[in-house]
This record gives sequence, C-alpha cells and structure tokens, in this order.
Amino acid sequence: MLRKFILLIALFVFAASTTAAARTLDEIISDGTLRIGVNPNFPPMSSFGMTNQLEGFDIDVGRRIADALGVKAEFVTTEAAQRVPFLVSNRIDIALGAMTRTPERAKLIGYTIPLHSEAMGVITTDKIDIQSWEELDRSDITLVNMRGNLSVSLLKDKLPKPKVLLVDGNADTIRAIAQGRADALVENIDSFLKFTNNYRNVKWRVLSDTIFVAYCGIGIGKDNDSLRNFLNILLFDLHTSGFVNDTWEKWYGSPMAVPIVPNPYF
Amino acid sequence: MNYTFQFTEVWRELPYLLGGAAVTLQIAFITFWCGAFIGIFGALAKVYGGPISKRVTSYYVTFFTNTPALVQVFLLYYALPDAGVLLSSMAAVLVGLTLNAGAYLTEILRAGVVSVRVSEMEAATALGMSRLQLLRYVMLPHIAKTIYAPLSNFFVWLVLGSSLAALFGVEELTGRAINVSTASLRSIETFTIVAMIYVVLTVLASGSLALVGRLAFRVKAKVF
Repeated sequence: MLRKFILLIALFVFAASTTAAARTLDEIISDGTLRIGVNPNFPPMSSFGMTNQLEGFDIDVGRRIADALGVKAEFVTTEAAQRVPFLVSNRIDIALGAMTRTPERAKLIGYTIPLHSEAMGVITTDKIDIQSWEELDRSDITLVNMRGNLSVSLLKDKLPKPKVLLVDGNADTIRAIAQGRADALVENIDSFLKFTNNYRNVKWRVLSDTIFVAYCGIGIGKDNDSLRNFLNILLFDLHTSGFVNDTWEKWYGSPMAVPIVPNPYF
Repeated sequence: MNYTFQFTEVWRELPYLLGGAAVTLQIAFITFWCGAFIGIFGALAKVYGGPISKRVTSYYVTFFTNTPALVQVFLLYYALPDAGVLLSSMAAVLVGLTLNAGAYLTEILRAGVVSVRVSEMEAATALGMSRLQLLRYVMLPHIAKTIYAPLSNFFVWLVLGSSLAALFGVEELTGRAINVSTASLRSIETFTIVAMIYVVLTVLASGSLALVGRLAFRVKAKVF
C-alpha cells in the first residue's frame, strides 16, 4: 500500500515537472474556451463578490479578451505562487493577477506588453512640504504602514530616520494620515488611493516621482507567439480606447498611479 | 510537508521581543490597577449606592462587558479624533483596557463585598471594633479569599489581551512578533518563542500574585 502510494506521488511529481505545450491561438479558438488564471484573494483585482461570483479588474479584462477571441472565458483560480506553475503545466492559457515582469519568471513563461503598472509611491497631504520621496528621511516625519507588510523592512534601508506607525488595514493607514497621526504612506499606492475618498476635506497629494515602478503583463506559455501576437495587438487597442484605464478606475476608485503609455511597435 | 525549522534568525531578535514583553507587562499593570480603582467605586456603588448610582454602574458594566475590548479601543483610537480628541496609540489602549478592566473588576469586587456576612459584621461591632478594624480584620480577609482567584485570572487575561494593542501601533510583544516574522518569514518559529515568553510572563504574574495573597491575606493559592 505504502509502496503504491509513493509510486503515485512520484508519478504526480513527474507529471507536474514535465512541461506541457501551451495551446496556440488556433487551438484556443477551435476549443471555444480561454482558460484564464486569476487570484481570487486579491480585491479589487479579482475576488468572490457579494453574490459569490468572481468580479474585479482582472475579470472584466479576462471577459473582454475572451470576447475579442470569440470564445468563452473560463476563470481558473490560482494562488499567487501557482500562477507560473499553472502556465508551465498548461492548466491555463493566460495568467492575470498582477503578473509582475521579472527576469526569473521570464525564463519560464512568456509575457505580453504591460497591462498595468505597480508603483511604489508616496501618499501624503499638503501639511508637509516635500517634492520627492527622499525628503521624507527626517526624524520629525511619521510614516504609516500595515503591520506585516514586507515593504516595512525594505523601507528601513531607504528611509531610516522617520518614525513608523504600524496599523492594521489599508483603510486605517489612510485614516491615520487624515487624522494627523502620520504624515505619509509609502506603498504600492494603487491599493490605497480609493480610501482617500473617505476623507475628502483632506488635501491629499501623491508625489509624482515614484520610488519603484514595476510592470505587469499578461502571463502566457513560453514561446506561444501566436497568442502573444494577438494579445499585444488587442492590448494596444484596449489601452488606446481607454478600456484598461476606465476598468481600473471602476475597480480601484482612482486612475492608475503610473498609466501605461501605449506603444504601437512591439 | 518537509518544513525545516530555523530558529537562529528569530533568537537573534530575542532582546527586541523581550523589550516588547516589558511593554506588555506595563500595559497589564497600569490597566489592572487603574481598573481596580474604578472597580472599587463600582462595587461600592452597586452594593451600597442609591438607585441612580446603581443604575449608572449597571449600564457601564453591561456596556463594557458585552462589547469586545478590541472594538472599544478601535472606537477610542479611530472614532474619537473625529470628535476632536486625538489619543496616542498607547493612550487609547490604556484608556480602553482600563475602562474594560474597570467593568469586569466591578463585578469581581462586588462578589467580594457581598461575601461578608451581616452576622459577622454585627458581631464585630458588638466587640467594639472601630470601622478601620472592621475593614481590616473582618471584611478584607473575606473579600480577599473570594476575589483572589478571579482577580489573578483577570490579570492573566489582561497580559494576554493586551496583544490587541499591536493593531493600534503599540510595539508590544505581539506587535514585535509580527514585525520579526514579516522580516524573517519565520512565523511559526517566532510565534513559538513568543508563546513561551507569554507563558513565562503569566506564570511570573500568577506567582507574584500568589505570594502577595499568601503574605497579606493568608490565601493559599496554587499557581499550577
């Protein structure tokens, strides 16, 4: 029994480690469904909403892509760490869920042109007079963040002098600034900006220079050129028509901090 | 499932964590004694007070024992500023937990006050005891014996319950534990060590309370 079990496990490991060929554009169209990987624990990117249906930026984008292909959208839920393995093992055709482009990932999967950006920037108010994030490195400044965010320890190197107030949630960080407990938040600001709408009488400022910008493309199977070509052309249209930005604003409550500049040459 | 435990990184942070434990004890001590102060007046009001003070005390106790301490501190920290009162992280936690402790200690102390039998009080008066003697030799031994166990339980609860302060920017033991586990990505190891620190804290607290009880009121309490 135990031997059989071990054999079975070994088979699974073998099956998972062999790479299956990604489906080409023609194969997807003739099959009639596009398998889209989304992370359901990542609102407002995608999550199970009030009616237990998937909703969010990625869901709208995924449906739009499937429409353009003339196929049905089949959403496959993946955790962040499963996105690359799911593409490699051909369980999904495309991966959404803020697939940040990194060289390590690009060895394993393919990417389209950027769908959206991720910007680590500064949200502050008119109470402090600074123009760039480096000026935050003063001992009379209090930075707020969420306890448990990895960026807290990263920031200790870049901005060692300010005091740090660690609170519990996205909304509480913005509230702490609005109430005067802290001066600024340094984070992936897109996830926080919509909470500033709760305090409209505060003069919010987002510093124009970002500390770090990453670009998220759509993840596809490596060497799947037919699909990549199609998606790049479609994404150019979705960017120029305003679809991406409108959808972003619909779910995030504010425009993308660093908008994608559409480029017709790939 | 072949996770390998790695305590080295977390051990290095032990002094930092122990600093957090000191803050935890500080919160527990301050809120316990301030809460006890409220509790004494609450208990006396509930037993000997007039109808109005009895009712007011009841409302206070009912409200604070029927809402989570977390919610109470949340409102003090985030809702009061909109009414113009900005409490610091530590102040909000101390005020919130003190009010919460005051409500529980009112009930605990009230149980002690009513445990003194009227016949014994009358006997003491008949023996010609002064009010002070009556309090010291008749009332306090009864009260101490009745409330001793719930009182030390409640102190332990305060030590553990003060961990909610981590959510409001206080760098006590739990808050520092989350910081350490985020930086080291070693949450299981961090919280194992933190659990042991909490055990040491509460055993020390129960032990010293047992000692006080034995020396001052001859209450024989067991720590284990």
